[in-house]
Amino acid sequence: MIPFSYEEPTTLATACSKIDHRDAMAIAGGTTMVDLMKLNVLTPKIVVHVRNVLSTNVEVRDDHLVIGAACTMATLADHPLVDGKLPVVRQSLILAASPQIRNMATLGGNLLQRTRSTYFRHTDMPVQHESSQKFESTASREGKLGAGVDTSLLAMLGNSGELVGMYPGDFAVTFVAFDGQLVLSGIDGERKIAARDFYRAPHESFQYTTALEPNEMIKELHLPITDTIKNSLYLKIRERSSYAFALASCSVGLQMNGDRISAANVGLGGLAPIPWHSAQAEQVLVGSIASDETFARAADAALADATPPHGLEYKVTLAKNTIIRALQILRDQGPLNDEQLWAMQHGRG
Amino acid sequence: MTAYEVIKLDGPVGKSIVRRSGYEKVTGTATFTAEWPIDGLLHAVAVPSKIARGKVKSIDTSIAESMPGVRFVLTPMNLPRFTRVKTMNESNQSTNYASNLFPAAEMEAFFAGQYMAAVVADSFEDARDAALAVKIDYEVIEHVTDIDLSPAEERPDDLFGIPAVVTRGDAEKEFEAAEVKIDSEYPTYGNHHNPIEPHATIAHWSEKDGKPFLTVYETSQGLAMSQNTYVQLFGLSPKQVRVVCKFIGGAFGSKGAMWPQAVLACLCAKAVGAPVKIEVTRSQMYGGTGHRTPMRQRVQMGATSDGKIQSIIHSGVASSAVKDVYDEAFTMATRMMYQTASLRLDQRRCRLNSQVPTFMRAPAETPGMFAIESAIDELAFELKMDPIELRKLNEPEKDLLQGKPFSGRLLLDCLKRGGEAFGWQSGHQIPRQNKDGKWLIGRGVAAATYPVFFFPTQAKVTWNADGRVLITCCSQEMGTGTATVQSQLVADVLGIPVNRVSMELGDTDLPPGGISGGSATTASLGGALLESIKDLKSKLIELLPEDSPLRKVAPEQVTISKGQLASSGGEINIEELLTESHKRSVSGSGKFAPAKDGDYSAHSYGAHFVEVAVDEDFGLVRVRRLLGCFACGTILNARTARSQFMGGIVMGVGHALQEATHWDHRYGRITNDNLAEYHVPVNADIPNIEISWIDTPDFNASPIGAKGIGEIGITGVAAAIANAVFNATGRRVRELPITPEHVMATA
Amino acid sequence: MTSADGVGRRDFLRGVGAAAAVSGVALAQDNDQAAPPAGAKRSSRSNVPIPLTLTLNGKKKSFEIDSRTTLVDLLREKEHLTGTKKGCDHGACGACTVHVNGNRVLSCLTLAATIEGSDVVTIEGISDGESLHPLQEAFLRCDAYQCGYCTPGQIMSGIACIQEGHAAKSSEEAREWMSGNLCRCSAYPNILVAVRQTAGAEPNGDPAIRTSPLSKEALS
Repeated sequence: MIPFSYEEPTTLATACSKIDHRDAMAIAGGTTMVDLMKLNVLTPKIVVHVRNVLSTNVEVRDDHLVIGAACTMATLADHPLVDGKLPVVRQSLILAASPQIRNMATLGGNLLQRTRSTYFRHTDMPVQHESSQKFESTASREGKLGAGVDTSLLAMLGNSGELVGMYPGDFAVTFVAFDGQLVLSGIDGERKIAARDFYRAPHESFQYTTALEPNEMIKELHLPITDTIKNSLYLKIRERSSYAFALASCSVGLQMNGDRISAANVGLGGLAPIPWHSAQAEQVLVGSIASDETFARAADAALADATPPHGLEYKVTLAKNTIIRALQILRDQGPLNDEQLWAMQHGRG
Repeated sequence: MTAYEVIKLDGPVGKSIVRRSGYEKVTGTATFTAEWPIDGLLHAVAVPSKIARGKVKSIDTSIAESMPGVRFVLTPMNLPRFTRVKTMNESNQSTNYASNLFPAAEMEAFFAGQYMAAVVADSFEDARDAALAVKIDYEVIEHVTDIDLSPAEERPDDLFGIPAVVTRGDAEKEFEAAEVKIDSEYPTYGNHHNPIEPHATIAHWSEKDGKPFLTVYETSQGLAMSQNTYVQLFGLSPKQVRVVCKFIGGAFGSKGAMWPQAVLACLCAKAVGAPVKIEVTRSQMYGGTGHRTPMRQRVQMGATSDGKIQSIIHSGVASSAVKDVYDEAFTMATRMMYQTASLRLDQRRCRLNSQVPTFMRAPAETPGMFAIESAIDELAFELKMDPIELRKLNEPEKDLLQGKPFSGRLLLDCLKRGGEAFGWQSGHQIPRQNKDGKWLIGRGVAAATYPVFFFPTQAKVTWNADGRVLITCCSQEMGTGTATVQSQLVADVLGIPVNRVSMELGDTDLPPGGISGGSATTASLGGALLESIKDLKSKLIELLPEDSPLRKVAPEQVTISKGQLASSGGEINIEELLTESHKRSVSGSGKFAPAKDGDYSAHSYGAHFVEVAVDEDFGLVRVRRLLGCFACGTILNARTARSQFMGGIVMGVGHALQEATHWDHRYGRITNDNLAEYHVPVNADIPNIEISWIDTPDFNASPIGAKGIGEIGITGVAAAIANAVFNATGRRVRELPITPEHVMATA
Repeated sequence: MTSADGVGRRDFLRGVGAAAAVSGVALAQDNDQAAPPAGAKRSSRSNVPIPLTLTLNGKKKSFEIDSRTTLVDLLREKEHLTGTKKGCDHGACGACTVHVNGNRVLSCLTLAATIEGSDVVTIEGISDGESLHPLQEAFLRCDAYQCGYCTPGQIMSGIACIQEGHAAKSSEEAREWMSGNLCRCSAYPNILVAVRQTAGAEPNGDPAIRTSPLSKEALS
């Protein structure tokens, strides 16, 4: 951490006027900021506490769930408008992090979670290394993307064939899958942007960037309440039963017309540098019969462009199986309750 | 005749009682090392090397020195004087310093994470942040951190008393000729202990009697050895050094040797003339402290078609460090587990640019039993035989290498009783027979074992006139319940209620204890306490009035029972005796040193039974049932023993399914240097665990009939799980940890 | 071949990694020279202590803190309330769990300045020293610890878990909601039972007696 000055403005406008996301950064729950500041990964000279100038309110407005950016993950998960009503929202919240972290982390901050890759957390260890090309080990293959690299938290989808950090979060996967919108507040007023446009795949950088301008902050999250989000599921695959980032995850929602799918949402986590919306999978699903064969085609479509670095090849199959299983559960069992979720996660009961 | 005198323990021993210091632990009032309140305490943070090998060209401390609160930046250029002591492994444990590399003292980096410098500052924040600003330029030299790329040309000189290569018969020939055989390789990742309490040291130089006096608060499993090491490091006498540790927040071997933060704290404190604390950051524990080495094991096993083992060849490589030697004796359990017509053990050593490896919970047996207990399961499958039956068939009558009879070898009893409790279906274990929805269900079994070790231990038992009895020994409290179980033992022997007995430990002002490791404390300290009680008894007899009827019999016919000195001539209340003799207390001292070479091959035994659920679409392995049955001699406290067995098993689940230290070998650096990416089990990973034991005292192995229980719990767990995964899926995973990519159907 | 670690290299790399992370636009300005902002309720230049008032274990307390100070360091180093433990300092172990305004949170990721006016309860604040909190008693009864280092965090988390209603319904739910606290001595099954007993989901009892069928004779 570098010594910084601390500010606690009383209005949103003042807060916006102070931040530039680099030298002057906003802090709310602190779960990402404090972690990364201790590592000197983030080195703001000014830290602006914004929690008290943002709303924590959750309400329904024009068929949208409207969430104040300072609402915590725990509060949203337990909110009567969410619990028992919007399964994928609750599930992608309560399968994330730990109860303590969910009590701290705000939704605005959660959307801006950074990659967990070691090459991001160690500023003196960039993923590109002069010996990458000539590096050989029994664990690497000549000419393979990422030979000698610890690829475990790198992206394998939407990575343009590059070694870039994977977005580790859960809720944002749901948020892009179900076409959430963000209200951004700046010094010149507000603007609305689709979450799918908010995240920008890495370009000459190790991880994603966003549409946030200097002096601009996330004020609200708007999530359309559709038939698909009411019939939805978040499936998270991780080798540890809890308190772990996803190896692969899938946010899905289906609207059925008889045995045909009339609307579908598919988002993928643990795979891409940004929370990943799979329009390809949705295209296959919509209008098709909800058969295993359709699901397999949707999974193939979703992963068609995967370029896994060395060591992540298995995740192509893993990701496809995650999509297929999520769709099957939704078709065969419908949305799961919490108890069914734990049984699936823990492999017991 | 048993090797040790049989004593009858029918009082508090074995009872399930609340552990001592439980109150302090649940209220947060237990004082751990970093928590001692010291006036004027400064904070230091080390500057680790970011490269794996190189020569220091320059160290630029100017930015760090200009930062707020910084008092001093310690570098090789301004380091206080000290003596480079021999390492723990090279000094035959007369010191316990882990490495030949000293903190802030080297102009060469031999591994990433080596402490090259340190910052002393007013606050932790100041020190942490200034440490990040120390700039070191290196001339980089080639490194190797990948065990598969390091030539394994060396062989260990000695592995717990035997050479690196041992042969009985012509094992290669017998293997070739065997009717049924398996030949498998078992590569395992390195592991880090990750106790939740980070390593920490507070060093405080003062004066006493006109001479320098060093007080060190240190996270140490061996305080007496640490004291001796400081004596040698700084040219002091033992009277000038006191080392204190009242509570250790988990160690598992990681606090057995002295790590550089301890020396560094002393040097920093000397340099600034004030007490200094170093609490190792979590990321600096990966390199700042030791680890379980990665290993490459191979087991070849040949048998007759009716299951008689003809040949076992266990070979492989474990890594040491470039400047230091630590040899993991992974073939150790293979010396005594199974009857075989021929045997070959062959270990090699390679060197990596890493911190020196160190003992981690059952150092030899955890990896070794994974290999050998997987191999025996593979052989049973090839033979279409029940794996317990195969073990029965090859149960040795005596220790093959030592030629000695076994002591307390109840392995088959553990397998039988455990199997009954678990509901083990004997016979050929055909995979893929059980499903629960999408989950494939599999069951596995493996044996557990751990040898009986002792460390020289001294102790004192003090009987106070108010009736309270105090045990003192510089042993260590790290959650094993030493104070609790030894109080039970002493209360039992003296015939008094356990609440009258307490124990003080964790301070070198007390009689020196051994290292809290090797599952050796209970028996070693127990032995010392029996001697102390004998000494106490003779001291009490001396206090008897001339005309006491107890004087009329030989001293050996006088006993202490029910809190009284007693003989056929009568009895006397000890508090009364003390009061009448104008004594506030009387103490007896004793020591226990292990016999050089006992008549028995002494070990503990156990059996693990596991049920797993595997989702092979994702390669997920979840543990549904765990059952362990153990034979470790007398169990002193049912509650704490159960916890310790259970803890070993849970750590075994981590070892089997999650734990791996990952590297970027291009940089030669550890990449998952945190608890979010170095996974250890969480609560949700662990099902109900059934623990039982066969409570048979072993007086051929231990003066108190009790053998250690701290390590056996983890041994064999990984094999039991791997065997269960095979039973569930038909896929034999020989690599640890067993992660999804190894288990997935299409992988 | 030369390599440097330290500030210079970090500064260079920051442009690649961190700064580009959040904002598409990098904006350079020297904020150290900025005048104290108008409209700020509480603010501080670096190195200038920040005033902080908390209700700590029921008592109102005022502090002057460094902007960098986290709640765990404030408690342990400044207040000497060392019951709250530091295990990883990065939100990955749960040892530092305390209650802020009634919620369990991680004090290592809580910048102290951000919780002005909050109600903070630590392990030292849940019992009066003579009568323990029921969950503390359950930890003793169930041997839900060994070394004791993660224990205060487990207990603070467990109390919240019970209050949240996650302890009593099912074992799997309780396991899940206690999974934010690592225990390396691996007392998990005992922690689970302690939390469930305290929540009234299971009768109080010593699990060692209930689950060691082969050694009943030793347990009388």
